[in-house]
Amino acid sequence: MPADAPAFDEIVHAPHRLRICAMLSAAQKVEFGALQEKLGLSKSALSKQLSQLVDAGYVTQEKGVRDARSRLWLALTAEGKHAYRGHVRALQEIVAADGA
Amino acid sequence: METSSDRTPSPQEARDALAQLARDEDAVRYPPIPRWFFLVGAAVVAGVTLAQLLPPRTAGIVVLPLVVLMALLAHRYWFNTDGVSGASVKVGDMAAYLTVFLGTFGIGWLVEATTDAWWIWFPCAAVTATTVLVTGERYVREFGHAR
Repeated sequence: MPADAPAFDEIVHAPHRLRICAMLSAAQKVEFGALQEKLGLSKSALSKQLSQLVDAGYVTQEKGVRDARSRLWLALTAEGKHAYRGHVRALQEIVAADGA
Repeated sequence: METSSDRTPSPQEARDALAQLARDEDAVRYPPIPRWFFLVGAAVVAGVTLAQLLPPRTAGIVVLPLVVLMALLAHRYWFNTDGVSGASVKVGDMAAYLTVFLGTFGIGWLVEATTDAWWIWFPCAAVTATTVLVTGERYVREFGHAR
């Protein structure tokens, strides 16, 4: 698989969405409540950020039951991973250029 | 991580953003783990190491359940904690631990094969178990521990 080219992504660029992508990139799936707790966002604020990522095809949502509780699981799509990695590489290039 | 969405971040903003992203990834990838997990892990690696003293067939019978036990514990307390499914560990983060573990095994096999010093597996077991305990202590200090 070729390395992801550095590229700023308009959808991912917003700070909260970038952080959501970072968390989702570290696991196969993360539950809505866990994301909310780690980000310190309200339900509505997190839903708003997620809907933009879902609309862009970067995140998928899946309802499931665990420990007898209904939960909403979120995962980065292949396109989302590509966009996130490209964005991180673009940030790394800025830092590298500054140190050069 | 205050980067405006309509301009390219400054080097300092990019640096801060990358640091925040690393913390966010780690928050999912490395959950708080109970201290006893590492005590069991140390006992398991010591058991696997000392099993090298047994005939190969018997060693296999001893090692398999130990490895299965550790895999089940890791599955429950590390990779699938509450709210996270399939946390992905970075191989690079495990490099130092794996180097010590595999290196110790390599040295053990080499010494036993060339000198018949079977007792070498005792110090090897001490090294592998201590490595797990030290790694566990560092992990708990950095990422916290669960009950």
